[in-house]
Amino acid sequence: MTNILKVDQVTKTYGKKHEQQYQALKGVNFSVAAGEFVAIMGASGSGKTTLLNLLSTLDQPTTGHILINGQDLSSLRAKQMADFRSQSIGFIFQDFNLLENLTNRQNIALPLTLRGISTNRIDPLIDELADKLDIKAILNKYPVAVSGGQKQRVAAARALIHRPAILLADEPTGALDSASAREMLDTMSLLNQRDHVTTLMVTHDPFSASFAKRILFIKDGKIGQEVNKGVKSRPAFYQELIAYLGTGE
Amino acid sequence: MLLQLALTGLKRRFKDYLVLFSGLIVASMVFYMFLALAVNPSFYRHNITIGAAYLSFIFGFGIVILSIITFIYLIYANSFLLSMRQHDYGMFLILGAKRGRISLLVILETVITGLLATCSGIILGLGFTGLVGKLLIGQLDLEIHHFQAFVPQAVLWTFVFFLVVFCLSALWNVQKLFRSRLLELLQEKQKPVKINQHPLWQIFEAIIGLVLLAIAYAAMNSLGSLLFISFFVGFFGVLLGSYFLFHSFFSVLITALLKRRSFAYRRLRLFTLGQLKFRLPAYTRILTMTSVLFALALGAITVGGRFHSMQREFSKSSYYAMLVTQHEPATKHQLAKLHAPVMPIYHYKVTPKGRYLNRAEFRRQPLRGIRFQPQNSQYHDSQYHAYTYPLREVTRLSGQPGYLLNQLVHSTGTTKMLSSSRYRRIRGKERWLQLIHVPDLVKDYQTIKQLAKLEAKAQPASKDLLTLFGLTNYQAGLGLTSGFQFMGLFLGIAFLTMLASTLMFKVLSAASDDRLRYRMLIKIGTREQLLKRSIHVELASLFILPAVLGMVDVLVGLNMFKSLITRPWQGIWLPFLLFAMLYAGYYVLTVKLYERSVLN
Repeated sequence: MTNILKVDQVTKTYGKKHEQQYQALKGVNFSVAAGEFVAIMGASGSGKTTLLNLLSTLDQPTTGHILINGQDLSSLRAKQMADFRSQSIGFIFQDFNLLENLTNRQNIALPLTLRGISTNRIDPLIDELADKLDIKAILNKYPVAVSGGQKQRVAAARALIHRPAILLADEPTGALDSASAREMLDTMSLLNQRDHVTTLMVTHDPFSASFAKRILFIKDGKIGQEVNKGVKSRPAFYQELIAYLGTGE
Repeated sequence: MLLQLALTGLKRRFKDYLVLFSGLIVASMVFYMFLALAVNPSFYRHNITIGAAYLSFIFGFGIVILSIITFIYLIYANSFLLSMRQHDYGMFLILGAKRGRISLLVILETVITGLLATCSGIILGLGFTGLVGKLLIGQLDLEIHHFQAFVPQAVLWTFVFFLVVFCLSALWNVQKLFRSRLLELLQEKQKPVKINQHPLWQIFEAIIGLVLLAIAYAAMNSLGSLLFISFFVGFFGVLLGSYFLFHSFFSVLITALLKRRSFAYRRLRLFTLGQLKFRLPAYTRILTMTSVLFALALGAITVGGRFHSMQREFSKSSYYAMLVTQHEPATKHQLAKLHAPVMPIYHYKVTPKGRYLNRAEFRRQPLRGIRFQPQNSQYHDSQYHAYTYPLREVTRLSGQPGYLLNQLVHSTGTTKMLSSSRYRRIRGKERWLQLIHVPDLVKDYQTIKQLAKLEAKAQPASKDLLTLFGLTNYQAGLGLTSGFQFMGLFLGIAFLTMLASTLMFKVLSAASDDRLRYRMLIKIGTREQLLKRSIHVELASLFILPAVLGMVDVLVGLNMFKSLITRPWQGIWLPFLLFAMLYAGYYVLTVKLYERSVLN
């Protein structure tokens, strides 16, 4: 299978020369194949957020290369970087990051208007995806008028509407109650299985991670152990994770 | 511990405090500048020769308007101060501070911030008043007396007014704090944006706004029949009408644009319109104030400028600006400085029987006069036409040049105009005089003034005669209009300063909340160029809407000055252009500061 994402010997050091420096990532290597659902798990300070910032082109690695869909991110200029983000990457954030001054429909339309898609095509595309995510009834409401779970599904719709090469999810259930979190994870899982949406989720929560097919553990700026779900059921995979975490490895 | 926390809070939001502080300073500075003129009666007693009663009313009314505007501004600034500190106060409560202690802290913070800003504002106001006054008087050659930058009553009243408002605000902040629950204080930032009211109600409000504006404009048009009532109806009608218009009319318009998908679904238009839709109702008070201040500033500058152009008319009312009867080196030096002058020299002889002129000289260089032709139109100046004075009229006493010559020659008996040969035969001492005409007296004003001084020194006897020339007419005009012109421009500049700071303050105080939205847009791949364009359009709308309304207010409001100035709309493009340039400068500054705040 082709690799959608390839991270090659990536390091990230903060602080200027001659000052006290801090190395957040110490040579990270991994890849994500098309149609995969990968979770990156780690505690606070393990380098999760740094890694996600680099993957989402919001920050640049000190050394090493990141390729998304064959494109080396380090070769992109600021303008190209913005275009690349708007075309190839979809984001879901912990706190939804919806614009509260736009309706849900308008929020979802944003990535398409940014790409200059014909105005006639935008609404049908939104309606089609809203059907899949079960948010059609709330499209014309403002984010403030819907529940947290619905907000996150709107955010998912906004992340997927332009068919990105990869969906990056940063603690997508962090701000949701357990029922909404479950619904959201089921939706992400379904999108991955049915529509083959390549997904990379960063989380510290084993329950969320258990929905992925493969889990990479990050600790002190390095990718350590890797766990594959294989043919196991999700609950079994979850138990395995808990057991793994319990050993403190 | 509390002090340390308070200082940390201040450091964290230093930029916001800077915005708040500079806003308050400008408010007190402008308030002082206005009072420096308004409570200095000797200023307008000495400088305003017409309509003094009218003027004291205008100033009284001006103080009321400025107090209302400043009051709203301060209330807004204080709620901004409280919103910045709210979270910290909540933290203090969690740490175990008693509400009474926090209240004391709130009062102290509010009043100290206020007093510091007021004192700095008054000091700056003193400097700015002196500077603007000096510049205006110097640059425009105004005949202004009893103008002073330091007016003790103005200092006192500014101080008292601001102190009272800050004390009231402090009490208001305390009671708001007492009413709020701890969680509300801590989560103030997370409060969702309010969704607009019902569309039908919005349309109703929009109509009310338009009707109120129409009533206000009608009242301003009827100053003659309604007298001072038209000021009140005009002002409050404009104030409320603008309020409703901003609160609803523009929101209705933006909603309609958002519904037009073919328009809204392009690049970042959705976001820009969304920002504006939510901004306008929240900005209602500030936009209303801005449009009123815009009208006041532009109106003051226009009226001031109109007085200035009336001075030009005075400069055209005589053909000859000055005369000289000697060519001493200093006089020659000044004459050489004049721009394209016409300077005929006439010789004459005086005998006990009378005075004699050489006809040939008058044929060669005819005497000229000015004919005044009033215009009926409101839009054009009266015309001053130069014409050649008929030769036979020269020696008559009634005509202007004839009268002039008779006076100059200052002898009794008849004046005769002779042929060159007869003139040569007359025995008597020959003298000469040189009349000076310049195409633009205003341009050569300083030189002509010098010439008049030199002439009066060289010929003390003819000192009174010098008053018969254009220079004196022009100086009389200056005296008549300088006071109004000075006040108009001075207050215009003061209002413009406040206007810009008000809008800038509001925009920048919202920047920290807006930063999140722009960060989010950057994350989903919006080019910086697009974000900047969106900011430009959004802020331009916030600047242009009150400006357009303010301009309409001015155009209609100028009706009220018809009794003071002729054709108030004439040449209006000049102050409008100057004002537009200054205003555009403020817009660019605000955009740059805002961009730095939200995009970096």
